[in-house]
Amino acid sequence: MSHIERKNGVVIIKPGIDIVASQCANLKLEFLEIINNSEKKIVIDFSGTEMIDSSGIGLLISIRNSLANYGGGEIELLNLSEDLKQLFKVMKLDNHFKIS
Amino acid sequence: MEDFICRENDSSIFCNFSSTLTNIDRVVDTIKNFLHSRRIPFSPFELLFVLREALNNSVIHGNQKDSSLKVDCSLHLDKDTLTITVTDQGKGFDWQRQLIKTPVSSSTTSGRGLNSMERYGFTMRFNEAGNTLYLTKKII
Repeated sequence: MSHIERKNGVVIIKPGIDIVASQCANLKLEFLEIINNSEKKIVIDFSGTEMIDSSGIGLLISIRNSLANYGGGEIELLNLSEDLKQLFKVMKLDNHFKIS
Repeated sequence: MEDFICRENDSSIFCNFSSTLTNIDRVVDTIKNFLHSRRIPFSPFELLFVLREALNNSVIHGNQKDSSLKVDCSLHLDKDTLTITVTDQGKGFDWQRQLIKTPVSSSTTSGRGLNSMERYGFTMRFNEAGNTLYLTKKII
């Protein structure tokens, strides 16, 4: 289960595991709970996440789409390894997420 | 019959497993350890990402996560070339049509698997039915 922290109107969620197909169903439930609480800004902390796959990327995109549909919320990806940052560039998604 | 078997020699590893998402993680971990023990002269990240996409396609789309169906996966390290072969027991797909599809939009949540393999510089080839994928990449 992810570590979830709320600070100054921002929800920081740290899965601490790889965001891959075998984990996506559980992670999706956690994210949906946060979105359904009308949270406007979600930060996903990638500390402890070495790998993401296309299922995980699809999950992040669906969160981004849901936040946008619920009135302009935003999602930020934090503490990505250089390999993961490069992956978002290769997939041409680096301009669609705030990555820091 | 066991649901997960891997065998290896100096330059190759072969795995046969039931089509579950957990087994994808097991295969990727086993091949990660194989690459680590062979002291490959490159970062395994891209390879493990592409491998995972190939396995996802076979388990999720090919075998529809039916655990009674198996996937074969082999990886061979040649002097300058890496070859991955993944075969499932599904009916295959129209890979020629899939390969010429328009680019995936940034708001689309699926359809990035094959796309990512090419973007990481792997050459893709399928058998006629589309249930065996051959991936190759020069490693030097």
